[in-house]
Formats: sequence, C-alpha cells, structure tokens
Amino acid sequence: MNASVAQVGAFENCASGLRYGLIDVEPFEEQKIVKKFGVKFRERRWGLKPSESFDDFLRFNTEVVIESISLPSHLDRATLIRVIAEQRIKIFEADTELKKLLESVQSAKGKSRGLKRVVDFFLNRQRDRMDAIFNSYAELFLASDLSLSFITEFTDFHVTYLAALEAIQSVVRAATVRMNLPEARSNFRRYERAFNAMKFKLSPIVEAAENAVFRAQALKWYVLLSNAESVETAFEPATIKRSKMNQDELSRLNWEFKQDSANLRRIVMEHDRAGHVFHPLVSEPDLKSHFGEIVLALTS
Amino acid sequence: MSSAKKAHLFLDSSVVLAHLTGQHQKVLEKLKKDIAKGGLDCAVSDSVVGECEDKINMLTDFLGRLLVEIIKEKVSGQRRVHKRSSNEAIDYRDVLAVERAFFEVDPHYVIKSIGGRFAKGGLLDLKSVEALIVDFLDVESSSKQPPDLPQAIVRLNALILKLISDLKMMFDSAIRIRHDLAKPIKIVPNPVDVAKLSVIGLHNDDANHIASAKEAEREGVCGRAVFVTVDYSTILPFQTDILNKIGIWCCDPLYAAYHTRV
Repeated sequence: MNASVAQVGAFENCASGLRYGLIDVEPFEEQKIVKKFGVKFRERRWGLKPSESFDDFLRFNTEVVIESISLPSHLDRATLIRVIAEQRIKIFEADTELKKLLESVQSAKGKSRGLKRVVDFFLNRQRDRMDAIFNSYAELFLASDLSLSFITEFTDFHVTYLAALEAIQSVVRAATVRMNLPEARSNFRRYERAFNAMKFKLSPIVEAAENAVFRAQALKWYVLLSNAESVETAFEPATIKRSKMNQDELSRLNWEFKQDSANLRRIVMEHDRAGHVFHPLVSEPDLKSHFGEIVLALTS
Repeated sequence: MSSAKKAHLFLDSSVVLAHLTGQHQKVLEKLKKDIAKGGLDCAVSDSVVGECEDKINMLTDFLGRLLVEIIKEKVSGQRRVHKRSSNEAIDYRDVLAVERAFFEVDPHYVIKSIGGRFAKGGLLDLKSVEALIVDFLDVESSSKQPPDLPQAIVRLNALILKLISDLKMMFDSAIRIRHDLAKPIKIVPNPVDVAKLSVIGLHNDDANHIASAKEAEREGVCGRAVFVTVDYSTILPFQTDILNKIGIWCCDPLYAAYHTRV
C-alpha cells in the first residue's frame, strides 16, 4: 500500500499546483522608480501572480475535501485536517521541482511564459507518472475486497486528466504566443485581454478537471480513511474492506465522482475533435491481440 | 429527402465490441468504407450502449477475480510448496505454476464467477486469458531486472487496468461521446416486438436491440432501419424469422449498405 499512499500526496499536490499556478493567478501591474545612469526612471512591469501561498492553498483544499466526507468516529476531523495538510506540505517541501516552479509563480518572475512552463511541467509529470499511478491502483485493488471495475473508475479518470492537461497545453501555447506579441507586451490592457481570452477558453476544461479531481480525492480519501486505524496512519491502512465503509456514503461519493469524471472526459473529447489528446496506454500487438480475443468471447 | 428519413444502420453490441478490439477486421473495414461512400447514418440503441457497458464491467470484474483467485493465490501457493521466497525474481517455474493453476481451474469456474447470458454459454475463452498472462510473464522474466512475484502481480494487474482503460476510452470515442462509429439513439422498444422475437428464441438483449431499431423506424426517427451484427450463432440464423415477425432485416456488415437500398 505504500506506493498508493505516496501517490495520494504526489498527484493531489500536482492537481492543486496546476490550479494554483494556472487559474489562481491574476494579471498585475507594478510601477517603481529606478535610477539608471544617475537619472530616475519610472519602470512599469506586469505579469501574473497568485493571491495566496501554496501552503495555505493546500490547507484549504484539504479542509474542503475532509469536510465533504463522513468519517469513522475514531478519527477527529480537525486533527485529521491538520495532520493531512501537514503531510501534504511536507511532501511538497520535499518535491524540489514543484517547489521551484511554484516559487517562480509566487514571485511572478515568469510572466505569461510562466503559464506555459506550469502546464508543461504538470503534463510531463502526469505522463511520467502514469505507470506509477496504475501500479498504485493495482496495489490498492490487491490489498482490498473492492471490485476491479470500481478501481477502473480511478484509472480512467487519470487517463482523462492526462488528456485534459494536453488540451490545456494546446490552449496555453496558442495564448502565450498572443500574450507575447509586441502589441500585448507594450500595452497592459491588451495583455490583460489576451489573458482573459485564454482563461475563458480554458475555464470549462479546468473547472471540469477541478471538480473531477475534488471528487476523486473525496472518494479515494473516504475509502482509505474508513479503513484507517488512527489519524497518524490515515493513508496507510494495511487492507481495505468494503464492510468498513458506509454503503450509502460510498455510493454517493462514487456516483458524484463518476458524473464529474465522465463530464471531464466529455468536455475534453468534444474539445479535441481531431483526437490528438487521448493515447492508448498499451501498444504491444501480442497483448492487445490476446485481450481482443478475450473481449470477443463476450460478443458471441 | 430530410435527414430524419434517411436509412439507418443499427449496430449490434457484437459489432461495437469487434470494432473496439480490432476483431472481424475485414468485414468491419468493408462496412466503414460503405458508410463513408454512401454517407450512411449509423446508430446504436440505448440497449446496445447498456449491454456494452455491462459487458465491459463484467469482464473487468471477472479478470480481477481471476487475478486474485488463480494467479495471486495459486502461483503464490506453488512458491510456498516449493519453499521459494516471494521475493525471488520470477522465472520459468512461475510460468509453469500458471500452467498448473489453469489446469486445476474448475470447468465451471466461468459459470460460477459470472452471471447472466455470458455464463450460460460458458463462452469465455480462458485460453486467451492464459495466453495474455504467459506472454506477460515471459516478457517480465526475460527483462534485465525481473520483478519478484508480488511486483509481477501488481504489474499484471496494472496491465489489465490499462487494457480496460483503452477499451473504455475507445468506446467513448466510438459511441458515447464522439460518435466516431455510431450515434446512440434514445428509443424504447415496443414490448410486443420484444415478445415476438423472444418467441423465436432470441435472447432478451438481442430482442431489445432489434425491436429498438424497429421502433426508431416506426416513430420516423429514420427511414429504413437495418440491423447489423457479427453474431453468427444467435442472431443471423434467425434473420428470415425476424423479418417475418417484425419486419427488420438483420445482416452481416458486408451486406449492410446494400440492404439500405432495398
């Protein structure tokens, strides 16, 4: 179960990081007087920066998720929120690449090119982690009495999330070009307009991704926390038993997750008419052929 | 002619699943060419979408159970019998343990594991599942750093999850969301038609799919409806009876386009 635990922090911090670095940023304009060659100049600069620290963002996100699920009576909600948020901040602190990226967002060094860097970072990371994500859900299945079709809801979601990042990347790439045109670079209003146009295009995908991530977090945390023995080992249950979960709560969270995950897939697929963002995970012809034969047996 | 009156090809779940898995390639390629050439409309009834979803979920859960009950428990059990640690890298002996595990499978395992029509026929070809597992273990055990048994089982499970995920993604692209293959049509079959088809021995799911096509034609959702299937054992042998009972022609994808002209 350890890989599964590590993935909880890794994926969810990244999903939060994406929102933090991409959506929770606002254009700003700053003026200062600088002295060059003994002469005072008024220097104006603009860029994008978030309104709060990432640590605060993680605390808030953790609180919202925990508040949305029922918990076993032996877990104190307030303590759990504090402990999980601290764990996530610790994972973030140890994640030097993510930390460096978000620090550059916080200091607003990146300007519009920073957005592209943010999206590229999270897309590459999700792509690189797909094997680890699938292995972690395989571990979760083997340590539980959950059905495999229940587990596939999560893995399908991660496939969709990866495709969503690819769709976001294509929008941000096009917008970055516009935001770096000389007209936009010399006029704050134009820069702001180009940024808002990008936000408008991105918002359905990002909002749907945001909802699906939240539902995935809520369901997965519910599954793990229902089986947790203590707050300290909240995400490290040795086994996962359905009998330890409230079936109504499980059904509610599962239904909400399936709806939002399907909605994200629909939005991304409709955005991607050319079919560029969903890629098959298995390419080995022999394995695909055996699997095709297995499925064919169902069609007779 | 208005588009609402165009002839429609109603696809069976067998055609949808064959498309997703690359089976019956030749006949489906011909069908796709004919659709493109003739600008034909392809549809699937709600009942076909539901059956495909149910079958994918059923297959997923069956493979999950098989992984735990046959591979995890029996292959690990063989290691215990031969006093081999589970931390040892996998090798040919584990492949032989898979052979033994499948040899010992109760002949009624599929029937006991899966309910409904699928179980009645006991049609799941376990040999294909066995071949998938043996191929996987062969590749993993020949790698530079072969995994130990628990790692191999996790990776095998991850492979199954990926294959299922690809299948569902293709289903969404072909049918549910992008309609690359066919568009779902919400239609409630007439129970009288379903009963007529059941009388001639059609399974209830098939009767619902075919009666849905008839209902779409009757309600003017489309012009002529032709039902297309690669189910050569339980639908196509009854094509004349089906035509006589409810007036829908069921055919092989090879001839579907020609039947829209009749």
